[in-house]
Amino acid sequence: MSLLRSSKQAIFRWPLPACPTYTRRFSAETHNQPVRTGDAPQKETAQIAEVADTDVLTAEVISGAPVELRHRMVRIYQPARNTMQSGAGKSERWRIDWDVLLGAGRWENPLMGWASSADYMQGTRMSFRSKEDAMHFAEKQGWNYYVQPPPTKKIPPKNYSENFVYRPNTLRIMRTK
Amino acid sequence: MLVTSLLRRSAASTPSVFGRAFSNSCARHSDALFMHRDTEYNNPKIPFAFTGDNMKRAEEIISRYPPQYKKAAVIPLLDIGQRQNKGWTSISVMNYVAKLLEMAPMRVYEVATFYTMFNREPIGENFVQVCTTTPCMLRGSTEILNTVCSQLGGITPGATTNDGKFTVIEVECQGACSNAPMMVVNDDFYEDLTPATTKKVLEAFAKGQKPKPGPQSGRKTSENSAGLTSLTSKPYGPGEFCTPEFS
Amino acid sequence: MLRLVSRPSSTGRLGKVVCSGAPHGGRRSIASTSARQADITLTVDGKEVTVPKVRSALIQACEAAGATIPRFCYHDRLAIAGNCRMCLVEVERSPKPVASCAMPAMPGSKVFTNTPLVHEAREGVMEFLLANHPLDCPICDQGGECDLQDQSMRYGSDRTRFHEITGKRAVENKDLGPLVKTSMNRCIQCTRCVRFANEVAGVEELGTTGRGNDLQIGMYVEKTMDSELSGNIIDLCPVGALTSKPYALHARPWELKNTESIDVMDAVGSNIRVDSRGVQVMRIQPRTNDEVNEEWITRRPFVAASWEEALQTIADGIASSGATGNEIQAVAGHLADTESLVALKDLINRLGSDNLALDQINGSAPPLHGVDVRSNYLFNSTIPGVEEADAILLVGTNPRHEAAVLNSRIRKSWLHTSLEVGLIGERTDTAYGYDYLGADSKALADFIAGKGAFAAKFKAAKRPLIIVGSALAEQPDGAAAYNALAKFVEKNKDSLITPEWNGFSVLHRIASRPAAYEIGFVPSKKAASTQPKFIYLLNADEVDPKSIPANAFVVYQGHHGDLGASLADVCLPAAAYTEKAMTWVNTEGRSQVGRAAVPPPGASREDWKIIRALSEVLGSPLPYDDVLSLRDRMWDISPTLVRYDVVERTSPEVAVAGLQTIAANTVSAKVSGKPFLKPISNFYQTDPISRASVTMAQCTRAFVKGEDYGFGEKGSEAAYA
Repeated sequence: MSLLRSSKQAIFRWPLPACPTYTRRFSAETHNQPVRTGDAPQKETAQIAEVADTDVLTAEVISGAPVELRHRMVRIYQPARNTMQSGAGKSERWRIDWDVLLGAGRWENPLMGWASSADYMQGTRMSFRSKEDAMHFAEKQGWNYYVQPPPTKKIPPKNYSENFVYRPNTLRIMRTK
Repeated sequence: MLVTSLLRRSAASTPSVFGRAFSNSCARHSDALFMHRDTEYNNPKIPFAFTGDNMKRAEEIISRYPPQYKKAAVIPLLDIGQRQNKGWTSISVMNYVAKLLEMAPMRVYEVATFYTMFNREPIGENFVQVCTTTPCMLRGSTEILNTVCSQLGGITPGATTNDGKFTVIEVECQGACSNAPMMVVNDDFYEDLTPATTKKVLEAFAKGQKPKPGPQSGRKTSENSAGLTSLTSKPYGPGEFCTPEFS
Repeated sequence: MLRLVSRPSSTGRLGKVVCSGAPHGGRRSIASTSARQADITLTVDGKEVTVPKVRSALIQACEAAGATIPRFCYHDRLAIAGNCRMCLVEVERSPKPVASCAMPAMPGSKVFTNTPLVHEAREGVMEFLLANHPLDCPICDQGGECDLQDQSMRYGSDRTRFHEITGKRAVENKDLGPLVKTSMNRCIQCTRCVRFANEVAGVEELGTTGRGNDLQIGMYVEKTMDSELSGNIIDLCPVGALTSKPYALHARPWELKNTESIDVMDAVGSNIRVDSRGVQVMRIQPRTNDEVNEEWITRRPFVAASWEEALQTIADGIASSGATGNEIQAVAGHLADTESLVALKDLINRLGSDNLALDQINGSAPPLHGVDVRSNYLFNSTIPGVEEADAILLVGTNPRHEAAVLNSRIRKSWLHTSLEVGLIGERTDTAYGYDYLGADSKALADFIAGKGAFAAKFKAAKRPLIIVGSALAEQPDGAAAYNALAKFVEKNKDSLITPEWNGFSVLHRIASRPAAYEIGFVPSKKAASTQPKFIYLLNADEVDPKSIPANAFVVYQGHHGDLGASLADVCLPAAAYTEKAMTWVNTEGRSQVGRAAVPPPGASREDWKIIRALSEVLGSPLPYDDVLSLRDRMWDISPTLVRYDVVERTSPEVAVAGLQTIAANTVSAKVSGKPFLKPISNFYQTDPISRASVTMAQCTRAFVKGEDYGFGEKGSEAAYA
């Protein structure tokens, strides 16, 4: 076993709680499965807990990134459309970002009143074209991640002529322009 | 220079008459702002209700529509209300109609502000509407309008005479272009006007009479004023120019 | 900023569009089911797309095909007006461009959304829209997220052909309350706000006056628009005519960092987006319909000395008060998150106490409905399920104030179906018509006996639904009402409780309440009768000062330092809900995880961490060090707490058994005949965050008390802005 491989395995041994919604790593079989829940805990554990002994070398091993970064979970989600605008642009992409760091993670600069933060990831966001891409990237980096499923949108078919449809019973709404 | 600009600025920041920031929207229209402000003569506390006759008419009109579509009667009912309320639709009239038709008051306001024939400010006894759209204008409606205004004591369109007898406004086409120029006084058209006939009509109204509506030039309707140029011969009767069997 | 866009994935846009029998792939596909026989197929820009035959607008078909149609008046959740004309598209063999929102999708038609004709037509429309639109963008709050601005980048002309000597149209600003700032000069008369008010909010006061160029949006008479949903018209407005008053001129959208989170102002758990800049939350945007909240206005009024000191004081306090066993009481407030509830319950139990009270009337007694069966205290029909109901009985609740978003759903269903609503309780304006049955237990008894027209309708309904307000349990006759209802539901379980439908729903109004019941944060009978000597208030701001014994040692842990803090011996500053990533369980029992938008200030900590630290000082440390292991503990308590975003249904058998326990628990209840009162008289200030907000105080003054709240722009030059 090479030095890199052994160091990698050493790093991967963090405590693994049984809570299934939070995933750390995927085995080869579940590679394309988003994190899901719903089954008994022991089954879930079996599904996701084991570290796959693959040849993927996570970037954290050699990137020199601070150790704290590995202990922070990233979230993979599709950002909601801005309700201020009707355009749906940029809502197809998947985003990775970090939860804010707690504990004096922010202060205002006493001289200028600028906001400062000890959280070096607070302004970072990454966009991906698909969930798989984002998950792949997080895995390569060796980050814990949580995939938030996008809400399903239900927009009923609608028609202009509905405004003028005859209603046989009491009118419950008077439509206007 | 500085002084003048300062002066100008202070003048510009003087509050307007209404005490509101903006009040000069839609100055082009005879009607008031599309916004109701309570006044002594027009506020929701002034009671209004249809008279017995009008109520009967209103019920008859409402009965023409399916019961859940009572709201369809809003325009005729507003018209009845306007007639009963001295020719203008006050906020009380609108609220009353809304209540009668079980509509939200705003839905009635929308209708009443949309149609320019609902006057939302009081008018004089006689409501003079002078058409100044293109055909009338080509036939001299400008002169008619000036005559009307000067005859009524030099008021401007949109204003009411001091004695409260006349209100004059300019209106768009009333559909009597073949008898241009024309004006409408109350519900009647006075057509083929000249300054002289205009004065005569207004004088009659001032005396409380009602002159004969229609063309004031001697025409019966919109026939050629210079006499007929065609169809002048006697029309042939039945059997003429036919083979003998049919004559 | 590190930005990385990876390779395109396997499914391109086209793959979602081309009709291959299953239009599932597209996130925005209109058909939620697979393509049916009745669907129609048309071609948009050369791509085939299938939409349901019944009443699909052309714009929806274009959207399903991935074509972006500019629009101002069309909105997915409102009726179609067809008045902005921006969505013009070219349809083959149509001589003129057609407005795609007002045109039904026709089978086989060929639609083009990107031709010179379309461009020219839209440019023409845009020119008219801009003719009267002020050049306000640099001082307009909408700048940066303005539909008109964006679309004029594509379709707008850089110079005008209109040279009216009277200048641009000037319109008076309207007064839409303390939440909405109006600049009516900017209005393009799309009437989205009018339709929203009329259809969704049920406020018929907003409308259009005048015609043509002089059309105005307003209420004609001078008054303030009063709706709990009025904040939404800020989002709906495609231009800067309606903007947020509290947020006015505070930030630009591109400066904001947005975090998707969960609202805790009511128990619906509305999804929100928290927009923050630096260390401040600037605004809350809905991810679904919701009212605006002004968290960012407030400043935390207190900070404790130091953590060691404070925690030691508490430990000393417990010792000196001599509290043991059930004399140690914990009171969970409205905004307590699930994690901290679990931690606090564990801590209190470890200290040998079972005295876990809730911050409400009768909160220190065991709840009537028990906590053993989930369906006894949850909104079993689910919130979307409300739209399936064909008869709804509201008991002791006003959903308009307790769950405004749910109320708009009821209204939507009421408008579009033949839904009948009945109400037992205080008369109230619900935004839909209802049969008023009465205010007290007698009305309920009459209903159960089948007297009255509504009872008959309810009986005939296929999907009847009873919505019980959470306040019912706080009423003098609550127990009797629960008893009667439980028996009624059990008797009619054929229609009310079936495998597909559970028509007995409890509507909570407090964000933390379902979670508290879920984890069993309720006192035992024995504990409830114990006089507490040590009281731990977790975000509890509704406590009655009289209920706290004079010699008790009181600890308050919270974030806004409201009523509870004034009673406390020690205050522990905790994080507000925008500052912690915690689990919230909504009234359906759906657990959702919020996100921290900004880190908490200074010494504030997440609630559960404070409790964890305290447990250390008290000598019985809780067995979890990080949030993941705490969530494991939650999994042990109830797996549903960490199964996020899904609702777990209760089987009919269990639900019926649960009702039997309610009936058994309340069998001795007496009827006093007192009416059921509604719990929320002031909608705008139900919790400490809102109470600390200046804007919400103005809302209260304007809407609840009917005063002039002093923000009207009468006679000021501010109206020019």
